[in-house]
Amino acid sequence: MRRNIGVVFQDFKLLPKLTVYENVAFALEVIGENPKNIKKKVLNVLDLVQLKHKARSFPDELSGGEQQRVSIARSIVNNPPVIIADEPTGNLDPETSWEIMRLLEEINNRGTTVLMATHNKVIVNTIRKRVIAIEDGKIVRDEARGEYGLYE
Amino acid sequence: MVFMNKTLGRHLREAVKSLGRNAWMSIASISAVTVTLLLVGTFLVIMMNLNNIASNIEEDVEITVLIDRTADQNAQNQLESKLKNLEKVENVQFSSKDQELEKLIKSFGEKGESFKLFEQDNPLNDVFIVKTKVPEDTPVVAEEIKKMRYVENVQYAEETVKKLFEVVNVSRNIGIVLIIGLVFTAMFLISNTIKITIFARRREIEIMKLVGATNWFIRWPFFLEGLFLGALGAVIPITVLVVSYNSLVNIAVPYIQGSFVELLPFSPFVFQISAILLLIGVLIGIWGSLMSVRKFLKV
Repeated sequence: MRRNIGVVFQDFKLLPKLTVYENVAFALEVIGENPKNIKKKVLNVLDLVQLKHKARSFPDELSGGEQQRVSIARSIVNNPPVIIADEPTGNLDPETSWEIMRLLEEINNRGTTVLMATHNKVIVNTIRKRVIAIEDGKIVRDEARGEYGLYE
Repeated sequence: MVFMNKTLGRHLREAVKSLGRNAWMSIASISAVTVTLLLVGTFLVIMMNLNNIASNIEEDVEITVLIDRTADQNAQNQLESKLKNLEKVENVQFSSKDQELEKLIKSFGEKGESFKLFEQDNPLNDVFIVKTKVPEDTPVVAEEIKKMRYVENVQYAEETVKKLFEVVNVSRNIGIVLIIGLVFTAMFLISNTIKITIFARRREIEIMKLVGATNWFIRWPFFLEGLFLGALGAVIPITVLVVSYNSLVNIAVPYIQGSFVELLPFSPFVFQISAILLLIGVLIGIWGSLMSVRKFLKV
């Protein structure tokens, strides 16, 4: 199941001993993709997140925003229909958060469903997408172009 | 197992990389295997030689029939055919008293020279050497032969053989217990050392699983790493064994020649033992590594 869903984490979860390129390629190696395709796909997706020039860097040489972009690249590299983003902006400053959001939006525009959990009120209110509020494990609100709830 | 052939190269690379990255841990595991296999190998060599000696002796259980000095050629022939007709007897061989003396002198090696004095006036008897079909029948047949005419006496080494078998059996059992104990110790040591290397990579394994790696995809590199650890650990014991057994054979054989103790010949034996050691090493390594990954795969 994990292969049909791309996951983006709050703390990035990149492999520290692998370069950016290898981290993204790893997601493909795991599913037994053939090596020729791996190179092409990885470079494509790094281009999309604008990190091609950092392909040889290690995660700890990157800023938080860049690391999150690598993480996103890894999650979309095998073209999953759905991406789950668990507070992808939680560890980032507002400026960088918007970079990430723009990127997720672009991915969304290409036809991938992006499911994102967040407590960032500004983002929710600005981006105006479908909002689902969950309390105690139950859906309490589901709006097509919702805002961040007052009581949450 | 699923992606093994496609990604075997990757797994091999990972395994070798990991061996190098955790060089000290690898050396610790390898030495654990080395020590164990050295001991196991030594025991195996001793046990298999004991076994060999025991079965040689079992085959050599024979009855020496001392022929009465008064018996003439005719009586001797009669006795021989009588012996041959016994149901449980496999074969009968004649050995003159001169031949017997020669054998005696030979068996004492250099000290046997002093017996040459007896060549003038040989006090020994002519003998028939009787072999039974089954070693266990020896006492019965011996009793039967004793009653025949022209038989002065009957000699056989049943008691000694029995005792020897007991000793061999006991030492074999002790050896097996020790070997099993040693193997388990080594497995424990290896699984611990690998566990420590994995512990450092726990996060890595967790991420691998989150990205969608199957358990076998994660396991393979560790599996191979364990295999290499075991195989590398077997190198030194095998070398030591080959070299020392070779010199043992070279040194000991001239001394023990002619006695009932006999060493197994170098050629097939040492290679069999080497193969066994390599196999044990590899199994220990694989088992140790798989045991320690198991825990970390439950994410």
